[in-house]
Amino acid sequence: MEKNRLSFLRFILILTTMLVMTYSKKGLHFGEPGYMIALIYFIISLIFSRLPEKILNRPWFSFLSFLFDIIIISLAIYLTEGVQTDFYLIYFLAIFISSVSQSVNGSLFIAIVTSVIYAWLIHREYPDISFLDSRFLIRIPFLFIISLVSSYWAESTRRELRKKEELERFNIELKKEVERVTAREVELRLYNERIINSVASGIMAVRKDGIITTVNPEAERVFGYKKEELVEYNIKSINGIDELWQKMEKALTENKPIIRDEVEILNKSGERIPIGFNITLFESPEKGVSGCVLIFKDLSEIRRLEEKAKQNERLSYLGKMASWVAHEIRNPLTSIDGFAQLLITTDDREKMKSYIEEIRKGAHRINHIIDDILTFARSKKMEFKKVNLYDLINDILKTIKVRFEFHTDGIPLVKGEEESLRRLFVNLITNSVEAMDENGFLQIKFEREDDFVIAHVIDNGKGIDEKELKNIFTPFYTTKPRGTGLGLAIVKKIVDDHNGKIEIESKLGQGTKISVWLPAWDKGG
Amino acid sequence: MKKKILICDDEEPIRLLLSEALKDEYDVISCDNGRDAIKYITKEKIDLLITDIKMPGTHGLEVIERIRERNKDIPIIICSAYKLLEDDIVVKTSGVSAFFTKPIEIKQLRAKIFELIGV
Repeated sequence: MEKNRLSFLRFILILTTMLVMTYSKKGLHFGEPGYMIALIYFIISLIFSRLPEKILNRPWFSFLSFLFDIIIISLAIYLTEGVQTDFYLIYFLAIFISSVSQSVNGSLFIAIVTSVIYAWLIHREYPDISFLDSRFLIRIPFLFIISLVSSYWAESTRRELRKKEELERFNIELKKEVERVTAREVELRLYNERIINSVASGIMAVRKDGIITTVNPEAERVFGYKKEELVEYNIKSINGIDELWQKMEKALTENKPIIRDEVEILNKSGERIPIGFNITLFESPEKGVSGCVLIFKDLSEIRRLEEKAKQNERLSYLGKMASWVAHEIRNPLTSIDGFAQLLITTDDREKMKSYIEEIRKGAHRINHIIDDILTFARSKKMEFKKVNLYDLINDILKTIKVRFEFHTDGIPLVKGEEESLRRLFVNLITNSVEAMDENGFLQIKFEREDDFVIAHVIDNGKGIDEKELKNIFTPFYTTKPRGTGLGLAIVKKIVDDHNGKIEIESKLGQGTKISVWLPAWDKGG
Repeated sequence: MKKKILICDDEEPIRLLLSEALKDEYDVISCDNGRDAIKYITKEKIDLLITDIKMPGTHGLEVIERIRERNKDIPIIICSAYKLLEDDIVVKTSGVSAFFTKPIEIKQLRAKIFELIGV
């Protein structure tokens, strides 16, 4: 029980005791034992009230203090009028107060002690009194009834109070928990927002109906719109990103994410911006697909660098080409010019004839070089027709002195331009033949792979080392004494023009295998 | 006895041209790569070397360096399609006697050879 409330009840008890003593027949007079007891009672109670709550609330202390009350009250009864007065009523008050502040057991014990003392007081005054006298039969049971009723009432009140207190405590805890969870949620939301905001890629989340729900700063930068101009707006109403929405709609309709795609958008200022993106679907077990998330990269800088690299490559080609032309043209030019100088100084007809022959050879060589350059540089549209690779290669091999064999399952028909393909295989076969010695043996194999015919040109020549293999298709790169450095670059170009593919495998001293994929005439088998 | 000239060039028409131009006054032998040129100079008495620079296999400048290790005195004439090589440090420090850029003036070449080794 609360310290102040207990002190207050105790003082009511003291005051009542003193009041009853004062208005008793004997009265309360200074110096008399009754007066002394009242004084002691008052002072001790005052001391009790000053004790710390921790001690006051101890059950043993509470019990002792009420025992003390009962003894003082009994002494007061004894010293004043005796038991014939209504003084005993104060016992009820004392028991009531003790019940309020103690457990049922403590209160019952106080009631027992009170009954014993009170019975002794009655017995002392009326030694012959019967136990059936109303003073015993009514007053003493009443003490117990008061004790039981009041302690029951006090206990239930205490229980109610405890319940209320517990409820309040629970409420406070609950409030704190709610605050903690809310704070955590805010923190998490901020944390997620910070992650999204710090990502270098653009992020935009869009609901199924096209409403934009999230954009990060990179998305704002690329689109050129502020967050407030995008979030809660329908993507269809934003100019310049229609194609992007089409892609999102496709992903949403087909229920299939889009990985690594590219589109060009118009930003707010009308600039074209190439973007590379992934679209992932936003789905939950309850709602299914409810929207999609677009993650994209601004490719402007990459495109600019690519363009620059291409330009550098073109310049580098130009440089290489200039140097190549100087070397390749000057040699036959030297022979033309030199033999012309010799021609002037001789009268010998035979010599003149051979010099002119050399001059013509030089001219042919220059013509061949020009042909190579033109083939390599041209970008004319090809007209594809049905070409039988077996017949084509067989024709070429008739003009070249080499041992060879064919391996084929069917007729290798491809879709291509015959003259270009002839040039392609002449270059490949010439290279192979030049790489082989007198034991050279050439194999031509045809194979079918899906929509392509693969032609393998396999020689048992000297092979190509790894370093050379890397540069094999580089224009103006040659390791051959009479090579122009354009042969395989032309091969590569012809293959590319046919949307084919070329692969080369080689081992030094063992030979080389070149495989060319060309589109089959009857695509799809 | 005629003086002996070695021509080293990977281009057959050039070898033929130089042989035709010089064979009346000199004994001309030729090869199409640097390795063979070094072999000739080691084995035979060669009075003058005419060499190209850009050849497959051993580079002309490497040929000159290796020849200089064996023969300090042999006059060397370079005939190259690349004029820039004239300024190359190896060309300058290896005691190259003359540098001709293709196409060549036969008269000038003959005059230079005459100046270097006579007839």
